[in-house]
Parts: sequence; structure tokens; C-alpha cells
Amino acid sequence: MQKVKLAAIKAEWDTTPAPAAFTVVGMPNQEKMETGGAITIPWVMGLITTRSLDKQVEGIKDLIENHEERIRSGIIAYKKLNALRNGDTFDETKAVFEEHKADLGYGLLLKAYVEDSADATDAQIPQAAKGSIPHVSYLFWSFRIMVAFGFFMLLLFALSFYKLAKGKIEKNLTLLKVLVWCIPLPWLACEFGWFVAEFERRPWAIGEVLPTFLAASALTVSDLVVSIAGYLLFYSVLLVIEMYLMFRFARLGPSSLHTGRYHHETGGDMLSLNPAE
Amino acid sequence: MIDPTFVELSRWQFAAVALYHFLFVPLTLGLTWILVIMEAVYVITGKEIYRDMSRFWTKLFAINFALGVTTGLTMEFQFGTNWAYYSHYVGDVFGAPLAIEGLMAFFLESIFVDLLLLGRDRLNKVQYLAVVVLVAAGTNLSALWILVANAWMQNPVGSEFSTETMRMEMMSFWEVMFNLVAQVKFIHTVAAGYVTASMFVIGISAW
Repeated sequence: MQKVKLAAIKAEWDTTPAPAAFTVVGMPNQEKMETGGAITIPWVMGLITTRSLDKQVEGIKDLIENHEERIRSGIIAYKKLNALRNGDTFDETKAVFEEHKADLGYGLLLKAYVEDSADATDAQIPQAAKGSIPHVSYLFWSFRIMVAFGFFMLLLFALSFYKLAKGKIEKNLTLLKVLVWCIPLPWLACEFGWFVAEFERRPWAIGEVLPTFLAASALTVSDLVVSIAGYLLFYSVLLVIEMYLMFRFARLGPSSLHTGRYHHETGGDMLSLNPAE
Repeated sequence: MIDPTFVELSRWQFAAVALYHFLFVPLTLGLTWILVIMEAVYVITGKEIYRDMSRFWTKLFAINFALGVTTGLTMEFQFGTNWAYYSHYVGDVFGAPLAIEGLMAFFLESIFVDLLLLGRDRLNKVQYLAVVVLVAAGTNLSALWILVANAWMQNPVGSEFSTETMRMEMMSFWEVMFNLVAQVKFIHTVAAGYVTASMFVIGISAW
């Protein structure tokens, strides 16, 4: 599970000799399993993911192969589990199940393609194995957007701190404007980050245990359309109210406290910002 | 076979609510610590301006906090309404950190948020600082427990499928709690919260 997410975020299709290179940007192509126009930095990937120079980072192609094996083993677990459910009490059935139990989730993956995992054809197994890898380019880009925003903000903080320490920040109007316009950045970074965190788990609700499509309640489409619309409407109204209040108080600044000591209340001369007060 | 449409819609619904929820969470996580700093400086120096500073940012914090709670609660209901089989299959494991989050951290957080908003004139400044610290600790503890639950979904340690009950059962609470993935996620999430709050404060101050 952790291996899949690393390989997907980094668009690492093939297992390469350690230490692996890190792809900074590129165009991951899921069909061909390659990344076009990739710019790579040697060694970095091996270093950050294995913290060593000699451990390998497994590529997606090898992971798919490994998943195919686990799916086959999962079918055995699935069959034995069904036997146990139907009242089979042989110790041997139980022993075989225990042996393949760790792959039961992989056996369940087949249920997206066939009614009963035990009836899966030889064509469906590789199909399910391929489907056990999330869409690489979504993860690849979301992760990079998050990281880029994060580093940009750290840079802004460092610059602002430097200017503030020198007592020059009030005079630097460009920097002040940039700071105001960058307020949405952390929220965007957070949402992209959560997208990566959740989407990388595809197709699992519980990693290697329970596929997402089996986890859902048997609701009707109309139930869901109504509830989604309800949630979106309700929360959007709340969000608008929140934004209105935030803008109102934030614009006023500390003069919203009505102490008569600040900025908008003293004719904008900011006299009272003297900390000696 | 399972109709993919309602599964997709359930995913969209959870994703939409989760994204809304996390518009409010990171600011709560970070801004509380910034309030702690302001109050602490006020206690140490006794200068009025730090108290006013803290009062101003508390106002913005309160608006944000109210919405964080409203959006968070509905997410927890969705495990039952939209992910029934999930809850059946792993509920015993996943439910534990979720319940601890609700009982311990969220209660701590809510109680002290009341004191934060209403206690300014009724408590002395050291008591008030203690309240602010507890709010900050409460919000961050909430994040910890919910991330323990989330990390278990990524890396389901400390549990096994049982043929007796035909579902996942917890083998070791400690393994679930000290899941390595959870620790990494926690650091990353609270750090994101601190960055968010810093950007919020610096941006509004720049205005």
C-alpha cells in the first residue's frame, strides 16, 4: 500500500537500480506506463523514500505483477472462506485460509469485474491487478502543487520576517499586496494534500483489506443526489456567511473591538499601535 | 454485480463534505497556538496591546471554529449512512480512535472554547491563558485521533480478519495507536495547520 503510493506520486513505472532518480515534472501516461518529457534529479528519490543509497524503490509495473499474484492467492482465501461460512469445519480448510488470509482483500477486488471472485477468468485477474493502481497523473500533479505552494509560502514567511526585522515591511507595498493575495494558498495546498492522501488509497477503502466499491451502503442514486445537493447547498450558505463575517472583521482589524484605540477609529494615524501603551 | 454509480456518488459526497470540513480545520489547528503566544506575551508583559491583539484574532477564530464543527459532525454520520458495509466490516477497529476523538478531544476542545469566548472578563489572565492552552491542545488532540483512524485505513495494523465474526477485529490497540503512518500524518497535518494560520495572520495584517 505504502509502496504503491510512493511509486504513484513519483510516477515510478519501472524499478530502477538504487539510488533512484526523482522526477520533478513530466507527463505520466497510465496506458503506456511511461512519463513523457520527464525532468529528473538523480539519487534524490532513493534518498527520500528509502533514506539510503542502496535500497530499491519498487516500480509500478513490478507492483502490478506482485498484485496479480496476491489476487490469485486471494481467490484461494475467498473460496476457503466461503467453505467455512457454509459450515465446513475441516482443520485443513481453516489452515489454508489462514495461510492466504492476508490476500483476502485482493480476492475481493475481483468483485468489480465478476459476481463471484471464485469464477474469475484468467483475463480478469490481470485486469484487476491493473485496476489496483490509482490514476498516476492526478496524484503526480496534486502532490507537486501542494509542495510548490508549501515552499512558496515558506519563502514568503522568510522574506517577510527579514523585512519585518529590518523594520521595512510597511514600506514594501508590493510584498504586502502579495501577502494579501496569497491568503488562499494554504487552503489550496491543504485540499490538494488531502486529495493525494485519500486518492492514493484507490481502489481501497481500507488498504489491502476492503475495496471501496464494497464498502458503500446500498442506497439509490436519487437518495444520493438529494443528499449531496442538500449538503452542498447548506454548506455553501454557511461558507458565504463565514466569508462575509471574516471579511467584515478582518478589514476593520483591531478597531472592530471598539476600544477607540486603533487605526480606523483614530483617523488612520495608527498612533495607538505604539506597544509602550 | 455492484452498480458503480451509487458508489461513485457516495465517494463524491464524502469528498465534498471532507473538503468543506478541511476549509476550517487547519486554521483552528494553527490559530489556537498563535493565540497562546499572544496571551502568553500579554501575561508576561502586561501590555494592553497584546490582549487586544488576542481579542481580535479570537473573534476570527470563533467564526471559523463554528463552521469546523458543523461540517465535521456530518462526516462522522456518513460512516453509518453511506458506508454501512465499511462500518460493519471494520467498525470495531476504526470506531475506537473515532470515538476517543469525539469523547476526549472534542469535548475538551468544546468546553474550553466556551471559556475562551465567554471567560475573558470572568477569569484572571493566568487562568485565561490556561484556557487558551487547553483549547489549542484539544484541537490538536482531535487531529491526532482522527488521523490515527485515517492512517489505519492506509496501513491497517494491529487487526485481523476473524472467521468467527466474519469481519475485522482489533488485535492490538497500541499498534493501531502507534501506527507509523499516523505519526507522519499528524506532523504533516498540524504543520499544514500552522502554515495556514501563519499565512492567514500575515495576510490579514498586511491588509
